[in-house]
Amino acid sequence: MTIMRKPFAFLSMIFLLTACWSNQEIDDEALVHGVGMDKAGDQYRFNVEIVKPGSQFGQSRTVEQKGGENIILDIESDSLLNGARELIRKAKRRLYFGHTRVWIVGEELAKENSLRLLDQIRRDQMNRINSYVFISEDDPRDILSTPTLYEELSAVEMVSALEQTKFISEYTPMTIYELFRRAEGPIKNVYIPMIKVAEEHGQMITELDGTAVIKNEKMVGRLTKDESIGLTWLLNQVKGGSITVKLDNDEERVALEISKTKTKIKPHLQGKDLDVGIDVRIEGTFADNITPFEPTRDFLKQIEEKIAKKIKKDIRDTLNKLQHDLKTDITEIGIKTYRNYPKAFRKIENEWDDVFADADISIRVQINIYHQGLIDKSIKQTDKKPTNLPFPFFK
Amino acid sequence: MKRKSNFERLLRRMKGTNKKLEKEQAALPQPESAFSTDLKENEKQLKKILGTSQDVTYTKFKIKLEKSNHLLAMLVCIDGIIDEGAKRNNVLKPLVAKTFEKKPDDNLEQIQMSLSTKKIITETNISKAIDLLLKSHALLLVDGYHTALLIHIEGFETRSIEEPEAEKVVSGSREGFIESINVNLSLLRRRIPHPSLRFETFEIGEFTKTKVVLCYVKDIAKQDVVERLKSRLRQIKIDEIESSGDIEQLIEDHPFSIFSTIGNTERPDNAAALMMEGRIIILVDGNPVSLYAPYFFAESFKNIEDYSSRPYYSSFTRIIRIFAFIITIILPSMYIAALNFNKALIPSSMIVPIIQARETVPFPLAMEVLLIILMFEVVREAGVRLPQQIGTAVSIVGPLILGDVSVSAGIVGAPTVVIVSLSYIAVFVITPIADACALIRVGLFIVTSIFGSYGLFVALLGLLTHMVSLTSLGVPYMSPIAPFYFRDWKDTIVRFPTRSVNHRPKSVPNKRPLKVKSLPNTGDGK
Repeated sequence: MTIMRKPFAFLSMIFLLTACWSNQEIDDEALVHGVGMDKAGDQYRFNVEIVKPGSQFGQSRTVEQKGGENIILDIESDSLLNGARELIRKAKRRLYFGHTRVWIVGEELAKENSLRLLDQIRRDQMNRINSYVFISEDDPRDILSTPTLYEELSAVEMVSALEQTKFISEYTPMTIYELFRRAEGPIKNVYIPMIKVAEEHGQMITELDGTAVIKNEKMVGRLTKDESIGLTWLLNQVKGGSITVKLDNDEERVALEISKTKTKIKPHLQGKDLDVGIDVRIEGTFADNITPFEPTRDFLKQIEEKIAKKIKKDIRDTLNKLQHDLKTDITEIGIKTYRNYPKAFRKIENEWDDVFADADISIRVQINIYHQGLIDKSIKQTDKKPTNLPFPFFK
Repeated sequence: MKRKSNFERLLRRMKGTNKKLEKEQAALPQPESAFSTDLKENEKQLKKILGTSQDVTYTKFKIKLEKSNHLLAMLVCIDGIIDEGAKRNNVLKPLVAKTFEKKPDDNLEQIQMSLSTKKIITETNISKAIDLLLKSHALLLVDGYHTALLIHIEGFETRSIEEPEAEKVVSGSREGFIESINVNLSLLRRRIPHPSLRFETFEIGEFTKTKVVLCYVKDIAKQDVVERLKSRLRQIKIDEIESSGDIEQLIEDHPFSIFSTIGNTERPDNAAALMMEGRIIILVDGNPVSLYAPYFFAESFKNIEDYSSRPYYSSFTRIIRIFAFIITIILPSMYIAALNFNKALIPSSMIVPIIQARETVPFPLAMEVLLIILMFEVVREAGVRLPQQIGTAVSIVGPLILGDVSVSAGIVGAPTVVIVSLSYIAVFVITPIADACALIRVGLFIVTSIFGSYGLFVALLGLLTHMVSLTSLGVPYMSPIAPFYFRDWKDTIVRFPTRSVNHRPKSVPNKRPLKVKSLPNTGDGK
């Protein structure tokens, strides 16, 4: 009797106590992969990229058909959540933002206030805070509707582009998590990579282009591609890539492949005077030698100096722009200073932009080329080849 | 009188405790107790008890005495279960040929001496004699004596020793148990020729009189465990035992659990190894499957062949088996939890193919998965029961044609077929608990399709609680994991090299924990 009573009670509980467990079939929802947002008058315009459900048999699509797997819908609304709800009318399905990996903010909106609008992403428990943020001077819709190269969705391709840039060390990705971490830290400035649509041989492709500098929730300026490289050095985010320098002759170039880097920032705060020592250490291999010289110790030393000079210049250019043009500290200098001098920092917190602008920053770059590759000379033109003649006396 | 609910009434009827039935049960006829001295009278008695079954043969002959006197005698045999040659040459021939000097004494001592057979029993009780007669004894009655001789001349057709189909190995013994219990016992005795190996025989079943033999090594197995099993066997009062499965279900600790807490094997080498760990083997006459207890959950992941291959590879395969167990029970549940409840769980790069597959399917996901699970279960059952020649046809029609066509017809999605078939293939790695896995899979799936991953984890916790509460002959089923015996872990998830396992498993109660005295020092070619 007792044996039967327990399962009976259990079964009745299973079937009677069913509350809302948010069971939602996947084909009743529209999965959003990328979201674009921009200003439209006094409202906001949202674009969403939705996965387009096609046939389950992957008919081999030709190149022309590529990029046809997404649906892009627009809505003008007051807020993100409201927009998402109103989009149901157009999408015919409820939108699901749990898979959104890319948020593109139009430049116009970014110049006003972009971070406020992103609040919903963090407040809702469903969204991914490891999704990426971009700023674009083009219409976000154009970026989302750019034909893709490999992936089916342009948002996915953008993420992969960002993740692969660690091999060129030009841009530092910005996730929602990182964005809010910085925006709520002692220095409320953020950098966000910018994206644009470029035309190449008649084909539209998306391309990373510069870095937006955001100060107090508003975009105040942008760094060019070269300045972004300097920023990456300052942020200690260089994971690889190559550095090419010219020798005296314009034709002669040498490239270094970076294998390990470390950027140390040592601030020294005294009253309102800030001295910063930036120490960059690079280890790399001698990768490309378009010169007639042999990679001797002296030659390598010469190259090391040239590369150090180039990196120093890159960093200095970025710092000049940040310090004097934009007066915005998006580097780690402010945070380092706060960590080293928390009490002194509190006193100058409100004047930090001026302190940073007047800071005396010295840069030291140390390069160690520890490997010159498997050969010495690039092409042994002058050397005699070892002869294979079977009868050397005929020579 | 307390009013009973309909449900309780229903249960009572299912249980079938009914006094009317007990009254209807006819008592078995009790034959007369002793043989008479009159041969004709005895013959009449026997024919009355045994009926006119055609396999009962009565051979009458004369035993010559001196001075041309003779005694009338009768040999009663059951054809087919006695050795016909032994009956003629070892029983009839000497009795007919020999002339006895004087009349045999009451125990027929002289006649016994002249027979050259394995075993002779004297018996005066008629029902006991018939018991033995039905179990490969020849019954010799002599006129004027109330003592019967029961001559053991067993001989019947048996299957030859073959490799068991279910437990094949690549390298290892090819012997398997057969239906005849005496052969099985000899297989065990040959593997452990030690006086400590004990066989204790029970006879269970009022009609079938099935021989059930308890085998254990006395100096290794704990006596209280043996006693526990013995008392359980003694308490069985039943009409018939059909197979070892009957015995298993009658003596196990948890008859209502989906997990079997008694193991079984068809391999004498495995049985011997288990006895050497301190376990008890139960052999049932007429069944090649032997039972053993205590049995643990961790053993489902072991295989006798693990011990003959290198420890690294067998450890790897064991981890694979554990992985397969997890896959087989939770994969369909995880699938529906990810797709219907926690969509963020789906890997981003997999979202497009999954959505595309789902879009064309007309059913809700839960129904789709359940449909394939049931379809697979039907195909599997069909494949198992059919003869081998047709079985291959089923295995082609089932997975290949049904699976492929149902996907291209848009009835089910391709990812669903992959998930369910993966979960079905994985179960074949862990055959000892395959049936439990099939039930758990369906159970977890139903719970998950209603409650999502929350339901899945609550159900898994419930399952774990149940498994931890199980015992096998009083020994915890989850040992050495749930009573944590770290020493036994040398041979649980991974297998350590043989020379580093010096102890018998602590999980099995035993009297001799140490099994290795010394080992050769083999480094550097010493």
